[in-house]
Amino acid sequence: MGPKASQVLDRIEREIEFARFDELLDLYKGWLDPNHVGLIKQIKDCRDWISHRNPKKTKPAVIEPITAHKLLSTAMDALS
Amino acid sequence: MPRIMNAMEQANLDPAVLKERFRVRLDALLNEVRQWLSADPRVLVTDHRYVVEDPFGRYEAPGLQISAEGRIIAELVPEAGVVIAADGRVNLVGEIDRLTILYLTGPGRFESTINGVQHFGRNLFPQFSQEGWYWLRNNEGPEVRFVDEATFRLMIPAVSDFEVRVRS
Repeated sequence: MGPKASQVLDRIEREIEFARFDELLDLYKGWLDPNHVGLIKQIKDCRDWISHRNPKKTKPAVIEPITAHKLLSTAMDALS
Repeated sequence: MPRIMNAMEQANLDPAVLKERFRVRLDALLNEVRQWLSADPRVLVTDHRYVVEDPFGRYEAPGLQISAEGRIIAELVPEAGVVIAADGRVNLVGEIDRLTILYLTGPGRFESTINGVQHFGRNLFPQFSQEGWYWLRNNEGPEVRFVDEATFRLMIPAVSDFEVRVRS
């Protein structure tokens, strides 16, 4: 179990039902490059847009699946 | 307003400035492609306008229709002025395939330092060599190749059954 894991677990136990993905990701800043975290948040925006497409909302930045996979797997590598 | 900045650049620019920058970079690519294809007298390149929908909104942007032997063999279609991890996307679309072209300003370097020691460092696009348009390929992961005349000549037959002649 890596450093900061206990902090993450405490937070998840308290707020899992109400947690925002953005805020959880912010806990990993330091372990992850802040630019990397920003791109992962954009992938989440893109995913949400695809899942709940609202024609009134502006289309977010999109990403090719292979690049998304690389960004996410690189984040996992950085955390392991 | 959705997050629109490519976080790798961290530039705090107005969306109108970013949109104009995309148009300038797009024009540069279109001009190069026109010049490269002018070497083959069988090829006809026609300007065409396409509707782009991206975080800047819905707007028209220029592209190209590439014809030969009386038919369109490929289209260079502007797709987005900003995408995640790149600064614009254009598609090369033919009957056989659709290729992705991304504008990159850097290799997408990610680094983290913990207690003064580098914990992690990796490039998203290790093949990056200079700012410009890159062909994004899937080689068990993203692999980019700078779009120059030689590369573009490989891309045309990849989306159509037409081979562009080499400049003599």
